[in-house]
Amino acid sequence: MARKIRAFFALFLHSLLVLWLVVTFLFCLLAVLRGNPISLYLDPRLTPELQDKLKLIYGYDAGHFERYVRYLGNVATGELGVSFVHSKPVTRVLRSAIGRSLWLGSFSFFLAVVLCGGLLVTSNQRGFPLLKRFSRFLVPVILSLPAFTLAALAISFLGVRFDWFPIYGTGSLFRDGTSSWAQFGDLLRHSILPGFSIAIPLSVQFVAYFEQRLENLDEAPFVISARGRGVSERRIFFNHKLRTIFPSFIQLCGLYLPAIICGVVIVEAMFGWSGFSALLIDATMARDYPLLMGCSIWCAALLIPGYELADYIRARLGEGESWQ
Amino acid sequence: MKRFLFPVFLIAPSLCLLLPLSWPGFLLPPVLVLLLAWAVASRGGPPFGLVVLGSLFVLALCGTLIAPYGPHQVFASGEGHLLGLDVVGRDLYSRMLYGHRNTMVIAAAGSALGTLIGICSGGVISLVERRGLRVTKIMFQVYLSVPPLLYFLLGLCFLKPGISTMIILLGITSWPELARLLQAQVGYLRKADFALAARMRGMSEWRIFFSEIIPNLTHLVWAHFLITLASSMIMESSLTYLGLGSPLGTPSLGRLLADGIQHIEERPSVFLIGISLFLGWIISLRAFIRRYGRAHEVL
Repeated sequence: MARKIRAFFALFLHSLLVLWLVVTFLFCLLAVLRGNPISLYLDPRLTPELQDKLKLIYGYDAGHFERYVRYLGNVATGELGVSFVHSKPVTRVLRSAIGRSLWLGSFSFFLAVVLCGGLLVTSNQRGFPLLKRFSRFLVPVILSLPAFTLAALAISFLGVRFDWFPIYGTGSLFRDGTSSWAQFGDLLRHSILPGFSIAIPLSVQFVAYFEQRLENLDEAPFVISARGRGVSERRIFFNHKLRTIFPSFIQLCGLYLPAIICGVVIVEAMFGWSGFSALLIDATMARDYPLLMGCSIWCAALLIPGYELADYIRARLGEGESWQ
Repeated sequence: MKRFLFPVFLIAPSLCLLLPLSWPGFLLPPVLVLLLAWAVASRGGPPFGLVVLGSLFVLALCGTLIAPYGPHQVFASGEGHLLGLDVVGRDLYSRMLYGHRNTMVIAAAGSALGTLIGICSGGVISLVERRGLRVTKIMFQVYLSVPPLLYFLLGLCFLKPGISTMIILLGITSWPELARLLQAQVGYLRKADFALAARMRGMSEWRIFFSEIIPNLTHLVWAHFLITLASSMIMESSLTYLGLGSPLGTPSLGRLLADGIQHIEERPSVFLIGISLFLGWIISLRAFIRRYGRAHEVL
C-alpha cells in the first residue's frame, strides 16, 4: 500500500513538473513569436500614457522575465490572465465553457464504451456471424473517415431531412423556467447527434484495439489450460479474457478521455456546441493570446495526469504479462 | 534496386517541371515516385493496396492535365459540366482534380518534412549519452502534452494562412513519434552484434551510426512516413472543412467533401466521389502499411 501511495505521489510530482515546463514552453513560444501580445491590440493613435495605463491594467507593463514570474505565480493560484476579446478573466471565461465540454466528452466516451462493449460481446459469441462480418467490413471504413464526415451526414439526414434531433447548440432557447428534468432531457436531446458523431469512430478504435488483444489471448497459457479443463468458450470469454483486458480499458480511459474533452473541436464546432472548442476557435480567429494560453494550459493539465496514469498502468501490465 | 531507382531520380524532377506546382509541390513527385518505385521493387507482385495506391497517385499527379477547366473559372449555367457547379459557379469536376492534387501535395510534403525532422532529432537524441535520456523523455512529454490541433491553431495565429503554412504545421506536429521510435530502435541496434563487431574494428560511434545503424532503420522510417501521410490527409481535410486550413477558395478534398455534403440531396455523386477518393487513399494506405509492416517486421 505504501508503495502504491509513493508511486502515485511520484506521478503527481512528475505531472506538476511537466505542467510547469509546458507553461514555460508556451510562454517562451509566445514571447519569441509575438513579443508583447498586447501591442497587437493597442491603437497606435493612443497617447503613450494611455498605452502604459492599459498595459498596466492587463499586466503587460514589465519585461519578459518579470511577466513570466508573475504569470507562473498567477497560474499556481488558478489565474490565467485577462482575455482581450471577452474583457474578463480567462479562468471565468473557461469555467463557463469547460462544464459543457466535460459533459459532451464524458457522454460520448460513455456511448463509445457501451457501443464497443456491445460489439465486442456480440461479435465474440456464436450466433452472430453476420454481425462479425459486418463489423470486420465497417471497422476499417469508419477508421478511415475524417471526423467531420459522420457529423455532417448526421446533420444532413437525422437533423435536417428527418428532423429527429436538434442540430445546433447545447439547449433550446425557451428552456429557462422549465423543471430541471426537462432541462436535462433537452440537453440530452441536443447531445445525441454530437455524442454519436464522436462515439462511433472512437468505439471503432476501441474495438480494433481490443480485438487485437483478444486474438493474442487465444494462445495464453491460462486460456489453453481452461480449454483443456473443458470450460465453455463463453465462460472463457467472460471470466478469463475480459478480466485480463480490463486494465487496458483503464489505460485507454487515461489516454482517450482527456484527449476527447480537449480534442472534439471539429465536431463541437460543427454542432455549434458552445464549449471549449468555440472558445479555442474564437481565440485563434481574434488572436486572443491570453485565452489561447489558458486553453492550452487547461488541455495540458488534463492530458498530463491521463498520460501518466496510462504509463503507470502500462508498466504494471508489462509486469503481469511476462508470459508473452 | 539501385538500377531501378536511378531513372526515377531522373524522371522525378522532370515531372515537377511538367506540372504547374508551387514550391512545396516539387517535394511530392520525388517522395511518392520513390516510395512507389521502391515498394514495387521490394515486393514480389503488386498487392491490392498498391494497385489502388498507384492509380490514385497517377490521378493526383496527372489529374490536372485532364481537368477541362481551371479551378477558379466561373460559369453561369451548369449544363455540360460533369458534376455540376458549386455555389459560386465553378466546375466541381475540375475542382475535384485540382483539390485531390493539392491535398496530396500538402499531406505528402508535410509528412516528408515531419519525417525529415524526426530522423534528424531522433538521430541526435539517440547519440546523446544515457544521462540525456531522461531530459529528452521529459522534452517529448512537454511537446506531446499539447494536442496537435492546438499547435495548428497557435501556428495559424502566427503564420500567414496558405499551403506552405499547412505543410510546415503538418511537419512540426508529426515528428515526435518518429523521433521516439528511432531513439528506442537506435538504442537497441547499438547493442546488436554487428554494431559490436564494427566497434571492435575500431569504427567511431558516428561512423557506426551512419554506415551500420541507419540502413537498418529505413523500413521503420518508410512505414512511419506512410502512416503520417494518411493522418496528414485527414488533418488537412478536417481543418479545411472548418475553414482553418488552406485559404478560402483553394480547391482541396476537404472542401470537396463539404460541397458534396451541402448538395447531397440533389447531387449525391459529388459526395460519393469525394468520399471514395478519400477512402481509397486511406484504406489502401492502411492495407499497404500492414503488409509492409508484417513483411519487414516493423511496427
